[in-house]
Amino acid sequence: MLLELSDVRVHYGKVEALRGISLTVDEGEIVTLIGGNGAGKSTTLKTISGLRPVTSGTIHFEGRSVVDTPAHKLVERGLSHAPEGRGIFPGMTVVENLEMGAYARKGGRSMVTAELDRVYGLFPRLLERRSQPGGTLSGGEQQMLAIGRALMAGPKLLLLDEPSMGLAPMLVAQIFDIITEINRQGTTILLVEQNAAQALRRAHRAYVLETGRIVRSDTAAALLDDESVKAAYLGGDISPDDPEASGTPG
Amino acid sequence: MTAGAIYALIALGYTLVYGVLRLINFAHSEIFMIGIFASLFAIDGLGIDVTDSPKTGLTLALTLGAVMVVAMLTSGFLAVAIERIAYRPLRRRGAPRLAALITAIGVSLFLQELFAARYGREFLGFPRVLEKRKLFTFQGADVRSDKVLVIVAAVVLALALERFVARSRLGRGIRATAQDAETAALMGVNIDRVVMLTFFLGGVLAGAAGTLYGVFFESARYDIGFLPGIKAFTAAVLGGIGNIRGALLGGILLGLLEKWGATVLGGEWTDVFAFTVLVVVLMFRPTGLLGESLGRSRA
Amino acid sequence: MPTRARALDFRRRIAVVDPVARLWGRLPVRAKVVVGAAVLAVAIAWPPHLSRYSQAVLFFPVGVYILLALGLNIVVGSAGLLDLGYVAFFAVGAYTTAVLTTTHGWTAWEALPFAVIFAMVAGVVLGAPTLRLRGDYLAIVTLGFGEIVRIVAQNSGSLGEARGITGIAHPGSVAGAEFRLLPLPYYYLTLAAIGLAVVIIVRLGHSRVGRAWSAIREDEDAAEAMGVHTFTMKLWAFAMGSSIGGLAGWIFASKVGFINPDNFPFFFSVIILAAVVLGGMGSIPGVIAGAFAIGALPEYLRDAAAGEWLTARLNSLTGGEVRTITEYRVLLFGASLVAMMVFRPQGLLPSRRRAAELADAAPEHSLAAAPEAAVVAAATAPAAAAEPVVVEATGAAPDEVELPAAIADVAATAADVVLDLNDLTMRFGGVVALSEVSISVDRSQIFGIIGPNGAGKTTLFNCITGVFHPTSGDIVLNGRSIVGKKPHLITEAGIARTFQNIRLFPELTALENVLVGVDARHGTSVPGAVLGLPRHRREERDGRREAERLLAYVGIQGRAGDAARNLSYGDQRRLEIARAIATGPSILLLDEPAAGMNPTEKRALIRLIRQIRDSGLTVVLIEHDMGLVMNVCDRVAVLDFGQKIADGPPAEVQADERVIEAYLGVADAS
Repeated sequence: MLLELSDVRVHYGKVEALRGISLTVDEGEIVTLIGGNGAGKSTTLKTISGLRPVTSGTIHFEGRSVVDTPAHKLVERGLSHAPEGRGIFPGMTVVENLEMGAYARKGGRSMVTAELDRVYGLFPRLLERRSQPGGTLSGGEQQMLAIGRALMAGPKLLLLDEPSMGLAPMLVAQIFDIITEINRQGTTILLVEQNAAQALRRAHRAYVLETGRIVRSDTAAALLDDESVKAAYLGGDISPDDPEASGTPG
Repeated sequence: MTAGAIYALIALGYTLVYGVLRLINFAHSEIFMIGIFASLFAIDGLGIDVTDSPKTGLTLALTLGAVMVVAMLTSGFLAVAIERIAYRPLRRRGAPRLAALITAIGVSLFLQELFAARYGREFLGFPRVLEKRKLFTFQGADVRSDKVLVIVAAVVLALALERFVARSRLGRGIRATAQDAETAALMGVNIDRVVMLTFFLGGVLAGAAGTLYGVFFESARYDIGFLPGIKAFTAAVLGGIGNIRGALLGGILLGLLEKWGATVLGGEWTDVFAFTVLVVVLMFRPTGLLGESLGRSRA
Repeated sequence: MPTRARALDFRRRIAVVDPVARLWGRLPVRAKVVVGAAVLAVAIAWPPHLSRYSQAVLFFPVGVYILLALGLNIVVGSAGLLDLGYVAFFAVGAYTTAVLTTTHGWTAWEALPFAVIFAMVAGVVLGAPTLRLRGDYLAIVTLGFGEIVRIVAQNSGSLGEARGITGIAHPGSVAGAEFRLLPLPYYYLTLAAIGLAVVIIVRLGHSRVGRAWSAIREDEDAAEAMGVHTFTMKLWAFAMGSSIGGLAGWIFASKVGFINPDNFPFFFSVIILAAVVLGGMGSIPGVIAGAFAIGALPEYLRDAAAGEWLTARLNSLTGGEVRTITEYRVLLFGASLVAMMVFRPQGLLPSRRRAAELADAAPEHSLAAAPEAAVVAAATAPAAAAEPVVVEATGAAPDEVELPAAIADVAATAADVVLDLNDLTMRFGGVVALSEVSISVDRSQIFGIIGPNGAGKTTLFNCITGVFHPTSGDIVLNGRSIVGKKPHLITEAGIARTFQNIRLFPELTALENVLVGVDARHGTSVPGAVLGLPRHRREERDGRREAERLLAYVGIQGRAGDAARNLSYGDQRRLEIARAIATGPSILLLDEPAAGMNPTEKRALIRLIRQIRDSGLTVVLIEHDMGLVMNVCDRVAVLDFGQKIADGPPAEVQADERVIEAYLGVADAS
């Protein structure tokens, strides 16, 4: 087991954001977390990568507890996180952004060059833009840069937070193709997605989050066919002729 | 221009810390003040006396170098200590910037009064280290050896800092933290270390500024940092706070403006003029001449 | 995090005063008045029995510090503007008195109004150009201003340069009481001024002005969107603070008879700030206690044996040779400012609100910064969400949940086409966020705007509400163009909004949040509130009634007294809607109102939106949830890459090929 969360609770002030999350990610898998806005998906990822302090519960990465390990140490251990909203350094060029991804690695120039080549192989677009400031890229290019940068750390586990956010439908498919490809090349992936249909089609297993709790977990294929999941996350909650919502008040 | 060069060095400290933490390190002027005191004590420690004649050549270079290193280290470590004691607890808690600014003012007052209690409230004189020799006259203004040295030293240090931030791995860490601290942490940047380094670098430059100020103006007092500190902050804002080149440009520009203002309005109005410049700049160009951002200042 | 735990532990240990503070916080208003009256009685009856020296100390520094701290508290504590040059206004008041009574031979009483007015003018002159600056820049600029005033005094022949001005007139006798150099009359004069300041501050605090200051402090953008004239209100805070400073300057100058620039150093500003911070920003008893402590302690220690002991300790610690404790005063202030901010940032006797803001204002906690935190708040109060009150209200009979008449009238007088957007284009640099979008919204319609993320929906809202100024195109509200107007003026013109990630004023109560909205239709300003004019009283009375009614209208009347941050997520959404309606709009813009809601909450929301439409208001909403939009909207426009690709009744739009491709296609493609 590469990653194991057991009854993890996280608070923002007095508010409990995660109310006992337990999940596992095995080596080689794509696992996805789906759920509505504010269900705690991003918080889960931030907690795993050490950005949010845990109130209680345990997190094990490669069998070792990482609950008190700061984010910058986790990168060295092989856990890489492409954050929601991409987190591109706007004032740095594409190359500099990518090199930041390898910040924690000890391998010298040759390693960085090799990783750069690999990322450019996946995203030829980034090679074209390599000396452009990150802030001037389009949304899709920024997303590629965010994923490429996370790969520069040479991760065993890659956390992706909403990679399809704000992208045109065509780009969405493209990004998901690349995610599948990265996984095929041997990187385990934990994926958080608003676009549940795509995510479930690409993932091996999935967890459904609701208000800080895991309410369902199954193979992705099973959830994709599940009626209640379909109703809740694959087509909007309220059907246009929902009887309970119709009619005037009173 | 000489004053401007010193402003620029101090301004770099404000700019670095502001760029990374969005904090006006109000105590920076005291880090500078203590750099002046450290220089004075180092000169004392070298056995240089008021009766000695100014140094020249290699002796001057060695003396000045040794004094400057002492001042730089003193101020650098002091800055780090201030960060640890006064700012880090607030940062951990995610306290609002107002709280940090109030803390900074507290540290500033504390250090001033500490030095006042210990070394009195009168000016302490420096022995003359640096010869004030006229080199040549340029457009009616005397170009003096000490002035040239101060300006050259300040520009060299500022450019060295810029190069460090632009080229080194740690410098990249500083820029990344300034642009997006959380993502920088995800890249493996140790934020606490970067913040410490930022304070240290700012302190080191303030220490160097202290030495230059000391050998140029030849006096020290507990509250001597206040005005240059405010002016340096003005310089940082003038150039665009968070921007290294901006601090250099702002410092030298402010020095020149002050000189010009003093000629037009009379020397006693210099400070009023400097503050007015600050207000006017902030009104019309709130991000300074070169704009804010540590990230964009690349070599 | 071990460091974090340790810091918390320290804070607990330091908090010996907590029981007092908490007790005070719990006291009912009447008890507070009684305590206040008792303190006042002591302050009046006791001083005549003290030594001449103690009386002098009670006047200066104690009394003057308290007065100044109350003035600075308006600026820093109420409006949240950090002023580091407050002493400048004290100086302006003092110098005005000095010049008028010496050079011009006026009496001190004649000079009084001018001392106050000049200080106020100085505040406005400083504030007008600088109040648009960000917080910490403002701090430095005010510091610079303080220095400028001092240096001007030092260098101006007419102000006596460094020598200062001597022979300032004492006030003439009042009701048989002679002033001259005796401290006691001045003490009573200061006490009267303090009393006046307290009355003014309390009255302002319970008025439209005080609420505006709170709103600005907590979320300036949201305040602006609720129709608060942020700039004017900040300027008023400066003007009020500086005139109290000027009043203190007048008292001081007329007592001592002699002033010079050294009376007004930078650290005087800091001492007053320390008093405000130490006492607890925003809390009147706290600020008075803080100023009292800072003024009286060094004087007490100077004579007491404890002072000698402390001085000796500090001397051995610093290696200094200082004789009296007064020389260590500033050092101790500095250290206590640091200790205070590190261990007890809320001050000794904090005001309820500021305590929460300063103590744990981690970005995650604020409503604006972390939608997730707010969202999960819903989870913490599942029981509350299901409380009978809520259910009953959302399903209540229509006649019980009518809008207040004043608001319904505005809605009813809207034009047939309430909002008309013509070829609206918005470019950011090279990126086109909106391209020639034209939309027309009829009265009493629920109009939905949908589109994928990044399609330009929120940009559209921001253009309509004046946050952005569109590159080209026109926005017409009720037949009048509103393009280029500031947000608060657009709110006044009749557009109200909610925010995608809920931007309430978290420390204000639910009722106060709605009152800020109601205030947009009112006109009381500082004079009205201070004097308690009939119009102000009427507005307060009506406003309160309307606000209560609106809380009932959205179904959260039971939470009126709770701080907004403690409401569940669903209730926060409702409160935000109530606050927006309170401004009396002809059109209500809802930015993703259903985000983060579960199906049950969404159904309740749909009922609320319909109810709003049925009350005569026009609603425009941005949503992601296709189902909700199709269910509730009368008409729908679809945006994609900044362009409108469809516009029509929901069923028609849903069948549109381009819409399916751009929007629905993503989820349904298989």
